[in-house]
Amino acid sequence: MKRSQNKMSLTIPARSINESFARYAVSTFAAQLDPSLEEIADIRTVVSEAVTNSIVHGYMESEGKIYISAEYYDDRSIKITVKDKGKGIDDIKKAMEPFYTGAPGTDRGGMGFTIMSSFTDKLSVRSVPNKGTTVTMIKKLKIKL
Amino acid sequence: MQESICRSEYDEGILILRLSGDIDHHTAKKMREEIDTNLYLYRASTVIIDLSEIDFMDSSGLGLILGRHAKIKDLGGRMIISDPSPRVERILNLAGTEKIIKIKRGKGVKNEKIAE
Repeated sequence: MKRSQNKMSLTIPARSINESFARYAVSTFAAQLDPSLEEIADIRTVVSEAVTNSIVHGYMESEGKIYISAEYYDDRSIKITVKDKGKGIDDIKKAMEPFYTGAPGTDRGGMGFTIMSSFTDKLSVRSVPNKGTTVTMIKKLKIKL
Repeated sequence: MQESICRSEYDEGILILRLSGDIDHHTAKKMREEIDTNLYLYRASTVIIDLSEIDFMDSSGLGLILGRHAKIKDLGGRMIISDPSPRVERILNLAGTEKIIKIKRGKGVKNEKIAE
């Protein structure tokens, strides 16, 4: 059984200016595992996607808090969780389809979940309408020789 | 992290927009406004979006690029993406961007008009 080695948590106001802070905070934490540049970029991108989803879709660009946590284990896997208490997702399956956007006419590409799924090893989304959404992603970093 | 900016150059029907910094949901709005201002100002037949100085891009950047492509087409022009980093290109390819927008690399980009 894998054992936890370190964890972090961060709560930020749901403001777009915090998107870069969130992704750099989590990627800096993950850097303790000495990942490749590609792996760091993957982590940065998926955190940005999840946090943006909370801001745009969860809170619809109004007030709210985003709860981010990350934990890494002795098998070099890292679990990242991004949670909001926003409006939730009615149809998760539909929301995860490529090019589907819950914010039409806003230049949102509808590719957020596709990117999260492509750049991690496991993605799970739990959502309750009017309660919020929790996105959990696990990425296994390559073993260093 | 770097503040995102958009620099423009126009010459004989070709508009080059050089984007730099990070493109995320926060920066995309301002970048979109700057790009659109240039698109309406020049109404160029060819618009080259130079991504060589983009350090980070997520799906908001993808939406920005695809949205500008649609706008340029509406204005009667064509769009070319120039010199994305392998990382940015990976994001573009996830949406099949290379199938609808020409992606060029290297110095040949500025010679687009001659090549026609």
